[in-house]
Amino acid sequence: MDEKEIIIIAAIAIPISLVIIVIVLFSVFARRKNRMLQEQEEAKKVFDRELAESQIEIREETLRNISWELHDNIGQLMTLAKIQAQMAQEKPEMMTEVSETIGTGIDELRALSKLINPEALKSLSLKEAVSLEIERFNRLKFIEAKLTINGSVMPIEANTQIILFRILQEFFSNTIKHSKASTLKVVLNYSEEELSITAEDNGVGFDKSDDFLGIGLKNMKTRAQLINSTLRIDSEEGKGTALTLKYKFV
Amino acid sequence: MKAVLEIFQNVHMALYAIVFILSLIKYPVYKNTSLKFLPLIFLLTLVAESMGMFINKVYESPNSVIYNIYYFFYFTFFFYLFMKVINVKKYKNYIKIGIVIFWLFYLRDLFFTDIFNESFIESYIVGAGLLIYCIILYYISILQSSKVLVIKNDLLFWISVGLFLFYIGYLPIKIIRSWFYKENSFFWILLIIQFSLVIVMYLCFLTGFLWMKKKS
Repeated sequence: MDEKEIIIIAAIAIPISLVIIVIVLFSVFARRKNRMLQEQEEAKKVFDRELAESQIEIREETLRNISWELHDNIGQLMTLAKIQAQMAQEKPEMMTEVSETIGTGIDELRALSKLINPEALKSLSLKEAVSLEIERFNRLKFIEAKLTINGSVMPIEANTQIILFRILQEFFSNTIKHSKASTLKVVLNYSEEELSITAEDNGVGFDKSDDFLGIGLKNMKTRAQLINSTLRIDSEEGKGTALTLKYKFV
Repeated sequence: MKAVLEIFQNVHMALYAIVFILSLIKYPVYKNTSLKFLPLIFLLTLVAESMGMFINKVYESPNSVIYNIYYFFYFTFFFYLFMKVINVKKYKNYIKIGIVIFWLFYLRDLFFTDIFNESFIESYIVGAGLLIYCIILYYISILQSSKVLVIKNDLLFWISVGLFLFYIGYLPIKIIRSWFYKENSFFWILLIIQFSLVIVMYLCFLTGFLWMKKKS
C-alpha cells in the first residue's frame, strides 16, 4: 500500500468512524437514561405502595390500641365507678370516690381522644410520635420504656417519617407481644449527617438462625432500604433484641 | 488550496476566542467545580495558537517549541480534571498511572528530542491516547450513576465529547504524519479533516457552554 492509498483510506475511514462513534455514544447514553428513568418510576411505585401499607398498618395498630385502652383502662375505671355508685346507695359518703373515679376516667378519655385525633397525628414529628408511644407503654404499664434524644432534632420529610415510625412500631409491637421483656430503651441520636436510632429490650431474644419475626423483619428491612437507610437487628437468646437504624440526611 | 486552509485557520482563531470569552462569561456557573481552571486552558490554547501562527508566518521558522510546551499543560490539565470528577477510586488510580506514563514519555522526549525544531510526537500520541482512555472511564462512570439523567446540561460532558471526537479522528492523522510527511502530496486531505475536527470539537465546547446548567 503506498502513501496515497493510506491517506485516502484514512480520509474515508476517519469521518465514517466518527459518525458511527457519535451515533453509538448518544444511543448508549439515551438507552441508559431511559432505563434509569424506568427504574426510578418503578422505585417510586414501590415506595408509594410501601408508604400506603405503612399508613394502613399504623392506622390498624392505632385502632387496636384504642380498643385495648377502652377495654383495659377506661372500661375498668367505669366498672369500678359503677360498683362504687352501687355501694354509695347505702353509704352516701362514698360519692366522693365515685366522682374521683369518673374524673380519672374522663381524663383518660381526653388523653385518648387527643392521641387519636387525625389532625394532631399528621402534624406529629418522629420524635413526638415515638415519645407518645413510649408514654403510652408506661401509662398502661405494658413495659418500662425510656426514650433518650441526643443532638438537635433535624427535620425529616413527612413520608420518610411515616416509614421510620412504622419500622419502630413494628419492633415495639414484637417486643410487647413476644419478647416478655421488662424494659425497652429507645435512643434517637441526631447528628449533622444522620439520624441513628437504637431500640433494645431485655426480653427472651431469638436465635438468628430461626426465622423469627419472618415477614415482619423482612418488611422492616425492605422499608429501611426504600428510605436509603440501614437496619440491623441483633438478638441473643435470653439477653434481648436490639434494633439499629441509620438514616442519612444527605 | 492555501486559501481554503487560511479560511480554516481564521475560523479556528475566531472559535478559540469565542469559546474563551464564553468560558469567562459563564464562569460564575462553574467557578466552584473542578472545571474552574478551564478558562486558563482556553487562554493557553488561544495564546499558543496565535504565537504558533505568528512565528510561522512572520519568521517562517519552526514553532514546535510552543506546541511542545503547550501540550504538556493541556494533557496534564485534562487528566487531572477527569481524575477529579470520576468518583470510582479504581478509575482514579488508573488515571494516576496514565499521568505518570505520559510524564515519563514527555521526559524522554525532553531529553532525546530537539524541543525547538522537532515535535514531541511520541509523547503527544501517548497523551492523546491516554486522554481518550480517561474519557472512556469518565463515560463508564457516568453510565453507572444517576448523572446520566442530567448529562445534557453538563459542561464537562460536552467538553469530553469534543475532545473524544477530535482525538479519535486526529490520532490516526498524527500517526500517518509521523510516518511520512511530504509537502505537496495528498496531505491536504488530512489537513482539511484535521481542521474540520477542530471546528467540531469547538462546536461541542460551545454547545456545552450554551446548554450548561448550575448543578443543584
